Amino acid sequence: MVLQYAMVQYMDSKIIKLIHDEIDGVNTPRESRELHEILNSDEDARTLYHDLLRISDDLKQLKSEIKLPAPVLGNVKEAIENRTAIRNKKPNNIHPLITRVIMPKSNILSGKTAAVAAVAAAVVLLVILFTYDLPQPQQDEVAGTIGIEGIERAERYRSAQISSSDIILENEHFQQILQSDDFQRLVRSGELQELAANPSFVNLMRDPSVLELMRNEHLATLMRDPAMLELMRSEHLATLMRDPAMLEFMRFTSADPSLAELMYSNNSAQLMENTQFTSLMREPSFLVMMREPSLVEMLRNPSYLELMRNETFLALARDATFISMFRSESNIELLHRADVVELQRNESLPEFMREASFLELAANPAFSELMRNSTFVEMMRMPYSVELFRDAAFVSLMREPTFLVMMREPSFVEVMRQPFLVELMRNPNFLMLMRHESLLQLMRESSFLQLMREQTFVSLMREPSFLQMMREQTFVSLMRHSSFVNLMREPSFLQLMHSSSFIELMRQDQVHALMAN
Amino acid sequence: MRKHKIIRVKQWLVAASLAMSFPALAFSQFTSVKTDDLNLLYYDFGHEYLINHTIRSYTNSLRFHENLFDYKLSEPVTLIMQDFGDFGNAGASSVPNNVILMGIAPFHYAYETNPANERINVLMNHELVHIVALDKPSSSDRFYRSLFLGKVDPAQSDPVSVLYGYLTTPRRYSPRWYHEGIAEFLTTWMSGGIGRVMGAYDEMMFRTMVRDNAHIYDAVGLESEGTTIDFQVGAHSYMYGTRFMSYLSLHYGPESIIEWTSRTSQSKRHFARQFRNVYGISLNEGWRNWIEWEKEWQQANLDRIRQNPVTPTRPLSRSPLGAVSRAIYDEENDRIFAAIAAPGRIAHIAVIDPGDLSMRRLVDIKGPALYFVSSLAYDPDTSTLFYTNDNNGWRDLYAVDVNSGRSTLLIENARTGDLAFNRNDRSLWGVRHFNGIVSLVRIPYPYTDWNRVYSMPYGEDVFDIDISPDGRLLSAAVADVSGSQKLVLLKTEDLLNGDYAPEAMVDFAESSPAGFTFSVDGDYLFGSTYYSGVSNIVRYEVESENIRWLTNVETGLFKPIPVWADSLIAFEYTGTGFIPVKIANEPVNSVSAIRFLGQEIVENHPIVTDWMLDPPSPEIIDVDTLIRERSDYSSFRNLSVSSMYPIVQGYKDYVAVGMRLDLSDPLRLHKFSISASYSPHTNVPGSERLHASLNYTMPSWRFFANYNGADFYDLFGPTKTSRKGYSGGVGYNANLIYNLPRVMDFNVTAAYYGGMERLPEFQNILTSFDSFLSLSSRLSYQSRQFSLGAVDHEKGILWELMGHGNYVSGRLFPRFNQNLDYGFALPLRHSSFWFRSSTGISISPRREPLGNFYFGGFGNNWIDYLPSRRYRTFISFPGVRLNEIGGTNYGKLMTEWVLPPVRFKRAGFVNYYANWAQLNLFSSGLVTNMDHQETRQLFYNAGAQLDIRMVIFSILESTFSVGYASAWNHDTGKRSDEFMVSLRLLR
Repeated sequence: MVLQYAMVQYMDSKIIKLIHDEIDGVNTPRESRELHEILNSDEDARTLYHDLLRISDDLKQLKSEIKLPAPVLGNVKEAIENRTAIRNKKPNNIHPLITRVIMPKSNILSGKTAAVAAVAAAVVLLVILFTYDLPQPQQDEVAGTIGIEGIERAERYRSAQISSSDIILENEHFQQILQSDDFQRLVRSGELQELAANPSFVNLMRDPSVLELMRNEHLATLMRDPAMLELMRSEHLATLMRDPAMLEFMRFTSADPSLAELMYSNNSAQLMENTQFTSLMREPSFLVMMREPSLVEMLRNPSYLELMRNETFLALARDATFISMFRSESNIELLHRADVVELQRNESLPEFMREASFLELAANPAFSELMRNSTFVEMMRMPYSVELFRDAAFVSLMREPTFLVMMREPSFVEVMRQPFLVELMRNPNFLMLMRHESLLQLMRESSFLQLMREQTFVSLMREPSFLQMMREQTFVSLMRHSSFVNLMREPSFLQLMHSSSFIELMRQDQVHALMAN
Repeated sequence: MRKHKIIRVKQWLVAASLAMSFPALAFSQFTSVKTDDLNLLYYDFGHEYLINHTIRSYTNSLRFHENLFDYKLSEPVTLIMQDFGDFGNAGASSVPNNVILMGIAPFHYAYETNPANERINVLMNHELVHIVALDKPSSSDRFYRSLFLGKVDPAQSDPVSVLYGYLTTPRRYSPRWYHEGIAEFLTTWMSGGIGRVMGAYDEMMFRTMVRDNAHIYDAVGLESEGTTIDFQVGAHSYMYGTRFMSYLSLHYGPESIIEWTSRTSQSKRHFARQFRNVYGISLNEGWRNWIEWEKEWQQANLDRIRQNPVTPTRPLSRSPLGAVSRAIYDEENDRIFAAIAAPGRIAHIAVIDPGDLSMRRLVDIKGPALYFVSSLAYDPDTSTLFYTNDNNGWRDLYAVDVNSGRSTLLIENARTGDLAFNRNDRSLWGVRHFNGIVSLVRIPYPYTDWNRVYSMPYGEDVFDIDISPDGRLLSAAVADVSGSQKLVLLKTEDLLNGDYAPEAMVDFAESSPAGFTFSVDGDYLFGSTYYSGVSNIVRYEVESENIRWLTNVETGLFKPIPVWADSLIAFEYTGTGFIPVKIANEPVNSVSAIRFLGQEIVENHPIVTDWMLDPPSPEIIDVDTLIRERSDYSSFRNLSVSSMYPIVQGYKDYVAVGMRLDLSDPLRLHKFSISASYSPHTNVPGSERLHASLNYTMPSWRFFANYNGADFYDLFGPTKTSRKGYSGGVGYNANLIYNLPRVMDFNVTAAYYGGMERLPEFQNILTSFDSFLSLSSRLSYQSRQFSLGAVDHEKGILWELMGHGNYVSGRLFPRFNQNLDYGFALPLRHSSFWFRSSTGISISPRREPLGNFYFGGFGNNWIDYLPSRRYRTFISFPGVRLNEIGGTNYGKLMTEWVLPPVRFKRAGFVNYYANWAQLNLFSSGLVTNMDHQETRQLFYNAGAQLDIRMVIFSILESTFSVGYASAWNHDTGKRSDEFMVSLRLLR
């Protein structure tokens, strides 16, 4: 069979035509003579001729057995020769030498048997259909067809067609971006033309890694967003995107829908306008930091993106210590602690982070220590605490070891919840006091803490002279006595303490001794 | 370049479109992707997604053609990918290089005149047929190509090159129907039956001609008159060519077509002689046989249609309108709006009164499309009609106030058409084409910007959209890469949310759901389909999804407008255009199908089914193994010799012989030519016997040099351009506006002349200096229009401001002039009236020849290559001798009546025939030295010029002109006459 097929494939089409025409009886005498000369000399042609002749005889035999009416037979013959083959045809390779499809003789479906079987099957099928009246689909039930009784459909040959799976395009999804009205506005603005004419940008867009990035479906969806297009407007983007770290970063962010949405927002576009930021983005260490899970968590709060426009932050972000803060495992753990998570959600934290002093502190290892203190975290969550960080003296205080120790005191925490303390802390003298060991000592006294809740005492503590006095060891010692504290609860005594002469008095050793008794 | 379907653009058209399209890109970066057989050039990053698919399609198609035609590509094809227009097209040329210019935009599908299957595949199949048919050489062609170092592209300046061109690429000199016929024929089978051979429009056109007993052109008349006489103009070449090839294929077998069109060493050089060689009869006889057969075939189809009652139609217009857009009915004012284009009338939007059938022009359409003219939508609340201009390029969106006629540009280069108005929110919807992708867009009030609603994947096209009266639904026809077309209904709300989820889809099988429009109540959609082979009107009920046929017509009905409950308006096809008719809104029970010629071919010659191409999928063609190089394209680096051949020239009154060498890059952005000749006659002084010229042109720049410049045309007639001496110079040209028909150019040329004895521009004026520096500049603006089938502009304006200065021995002789032409169309078809004025002043002494203007004569040579109607130039003054009238200032006014041209149905032979003749009458007055009584001169003249356009070698157009004029000197009363005969070669 294979040999026969090959034989036909390489045989001259003219010979094949002569053979067919001879069998069909349409050859002229000259053509018949020509064919027989060929058959005498060409064995392949002879074999083919005899095979076809045999098939033809079989068909004639079949015809005589079935005895179909002549017009029907003509139609069937025509259909067999032409239409069936045409309609069922699949896309072909080009075989210019083949003009007909020739069925091999050895095919079991050829010849009389097959024809009889087919007719029998058709008859059985018709009998079943008409006898049992099986439900047939109605024309109007067949969705999407328009055939209507009485309306003839013109016959138009159409072979199996190319399908969308045959058409493989490169980065077609990128067209979704190019087609958008926002992108076209960019084009009209002229900026994009410049960019498109910029060989470095064009080369960048051809970069396999960039293309790979563009294949990210989510990013492609995002890039339809006006904000993303605004981002693309930035001339810095092309430069940035050539940095492998930046690409890696974009890949990282675009993989997470919510993060990507955050990163490619209006804020990002504005950030790109900030040369300091884009300069920072070129630093691999920064981009690595931006991928730290802890920071990623934080970045889910849009307020942090706002933070990135802060010049201090931008300067600090170059600081290796600062960056390492986000890499430390312990810090990462810290960031996952419930109260810190709560703090991160607190609107005041980004405000803190905009404060130069806070950021400066943040780079200080001691600050990390502080952050581990839940008291401190709690304090930071208080609405007024931001104001404290705007106070240079307070920030300075925070660097003091004593402050750190004090922050660990539960009693201090207790007091910290009182609004008056903040007010006090704005007082430089009180801050000075807070640096002093004496206050720490006092804070450990429950009686003192009770005293601090007294309005009159608070009022007293606003007095510079009193605060100055509290720094004196003798007075602190005095205040540690419960009797003295009780005394201070007396309004008249407090009135007395407001006077400058009282303070002068208190400085006297004898008075100390007396009071101590 | 007017485009409709896949057009094979002639050599010069490709070159011209390259030159016109690329000025802005001239210095842009083309990127080249090379395989062994292809040099693909593109300029836009946004087109890169199609690169590999294009290479696969090209390679797939080339392999097919190599097998079918036994063809071996002589050189890689340069394929330029572009998006210069909103609708897909392509052109191919093989001289001097194989070039294909391919537009990637989607096709338009008006009346199914374009295939809906994947277009790059189709374009490659089609254009490569042209390359093979043009480029495939016989052994003698190969010999001449090696002799002349390439395929010779005839040069106007050296017309002997026509002969060399014929020797190197003889089949280039065949008519357009021949090339388009074979290309369309093969493309249909390569696409598995989708194409013009199976085209319902083509069947309709010939069926209508037979029904109306209209003239079917012969092979000569088709090109001379047939392609200009009705609204389909050049498309006739496609339809006649394909039909003739199909007829031959049916009767002689498809292989005979290949034998006829394939150039082999045994074949005849000329296409008509090869026809006789293959078919044994003359081309004329073959054509006659076809027409006889066609009449029988179409009569049989008409009989089939008439087996059922034919639907009566009532015309709503006195005569066919030509090509028509989608029409809109204004219910409140009982009027119809439609954009129409027909030969002899500038395309415009017409307001039609369906009562008394009167029409009035509302506004002109700039750049009408061949079949659909323009896209329209209407806001009845504000009486605002939206329409598109530049419909063959990047479409602009306009609005016109129907009451005042005031037109406003809304969005330039909106690239959007298929407009539909949503009355609910006053938004305009449309279909935008960009980078080969189709997007649905919404244009909210005040229509100054658009929003993308949904972009289809590549290869899926949306067209013929409409919006339901309640604004809830959008109907559209959608085609996919397989060519399947469906009617879909979409919720506008879903679309605005980015969801493309058709509510209902109706498959129209091989035919297109065309022009579906909602009824006033939104319950029905009315449209047309070729389901039965004839375009009939159908009604689709939105609720039940039932479809009913409303008509059974003999020709075809399209673009229904549901105006009344019981009847509709539709457009009926006639041989001279579409005519609005009224039909009943009543279903018909029976419609008979017609037979398609293509189907007859398939059934009788199944070999055509073997010509179906495998899909160009990566499994079959691995692009990575094909690509050899990716690099930036440099015109300069790609300069190579395109041809070298002997020339003959004239120097003064003597013959010179020599050689010409041409170099160019494949894009023809850079062209370099050098000619050298020698005058052997002893009357020519020894120092003047050698002649040489050099020209180098690149986008915007031109460099030239001459030494004793000689010219072929100086061999004939009184006008001489050959000059003793030497010169060298540089010219710069800039397109300040290029938005056809509005064009503004600026050019400036600086040149140094030495050893001169006569002025370079005025042959009869001796120079007073032999060396000088010349600087000339020209700023021009034009906005001129013509209607379909015109041979010249028919209305518009042309303005030029020119400056010319000669700098001699430290002294400058400047002169300035400006020309203003204004013309308007007359009610006579293709007739117009023009005023042409010119004024000028020179700031130089009167006695100095370098500082004067000179006028006189028609200016044409006996054999010429410059424009035939030279009497229109400001320096011409027919009736007096060349340069006879001079002056340092002047004023001139000409009136001209351009009479309707006469088209010839048949005047000549297949190879040599006349196209048309046109008579122009003119009269002018000229006054010079207005400021100086003693030297003032005043002349009048009146004259006529008859131009006859002829075609030689099927494609080489030439113009034979005869002119006569009388001139009078107002002061002396002296009269002089001039008779002019001229043959302008190559156009």
